Amino acid sequence: MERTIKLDVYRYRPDWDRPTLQPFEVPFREDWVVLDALNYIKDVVDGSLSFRWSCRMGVCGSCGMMVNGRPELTCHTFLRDCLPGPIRIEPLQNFAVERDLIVDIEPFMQKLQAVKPWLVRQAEQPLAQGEYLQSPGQLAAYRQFSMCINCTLCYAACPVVGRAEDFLGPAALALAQRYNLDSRDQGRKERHAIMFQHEGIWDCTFVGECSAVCPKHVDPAGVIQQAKLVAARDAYRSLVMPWSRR
Amino acid sequence: MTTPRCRALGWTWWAARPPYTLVLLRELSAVVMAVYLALLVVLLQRAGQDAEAYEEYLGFLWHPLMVLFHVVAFAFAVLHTVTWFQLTPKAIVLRYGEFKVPDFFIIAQQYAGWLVMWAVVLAWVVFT
Repeated sequence: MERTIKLDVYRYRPDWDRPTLQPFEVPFREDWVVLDALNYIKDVVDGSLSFRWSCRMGVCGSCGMMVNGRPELTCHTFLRDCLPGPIRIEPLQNFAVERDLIVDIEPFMQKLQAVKPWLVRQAEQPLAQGEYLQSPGQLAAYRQFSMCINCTLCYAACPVVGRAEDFLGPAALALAQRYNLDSRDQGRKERHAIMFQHEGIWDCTFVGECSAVCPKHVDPAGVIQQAKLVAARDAYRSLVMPWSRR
Repeated sequence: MTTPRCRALGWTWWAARPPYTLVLLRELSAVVMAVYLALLVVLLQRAGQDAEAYEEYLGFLWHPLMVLFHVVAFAFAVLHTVTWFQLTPKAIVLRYGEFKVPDFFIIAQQYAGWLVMWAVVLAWVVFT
């Protein structure tokens, strides 16, 4: 007799009044992750189940879901770690649901764009001068924060995101600071104007769960607190030395 | 075009997961500390008045409910101190080139400062 495990999967269609949890039973394999179980359901049991996935190796960040109430990359979450089951699979918290396990990430994309997550240069140096050089120490200053894969697990873990929809959120702020700390970047002033608003770093109450669930150990909670220190320092500096205001 | 279903977070969000509950208790500890400080300020004020006013206030503080409050306040003070000390390395990052000062040192120096202050206060109480 084949060993099986039960899954309770969130189902929703836009024309439904309310969502429902649908129970499924799938084969249990030691080397299967939750995403394998979902793909089994789609291939064998119910082809109408909708969810996003792509790389299956924790790089693309598209298979994030709530697994037993915690935001997880389903390609990184083994069935054997969820025993005895049933495993509750839901769409990411704090996002609107399009269909089944698919959420609308458009608000996140807009927040991400707002902080200019790219290298901003006042003037590009001529190609003949070669690349912008960087020392290992300068790279170390921002490397950890450059690991973000935009999986949005941190948004699903953050209760502030769920209560204040204007909050820029962990990933956007972490990426903003990632470029601020990059020695090749010159866009810090533009980003600070966005980051230091109330809806930026000051909405964060330091719950810290964004860092706890991050599969790439980016530590957005730490980044935001470091940015708060910078903002406070700048404010005091402009108070004590008003001539330094630019 | 479809309308996405909004999954709003209810006011009981803090009970959804243990880490959220701990955070709420950490934030709540500030309120408890504020009440404790208010009681302490009144105590200092009474100490500046006559002995009768001071003794009367001490009697109030020894009421079983006030003793219970102080026990709870102490627990919250420990929670407040320990959780914020643990979080400090997130905000304070000391980096020298590629070397980053380990979190342990950031936390340890705060406990060291706490112990020094505690020793100073204890010495003041014992020797004066």
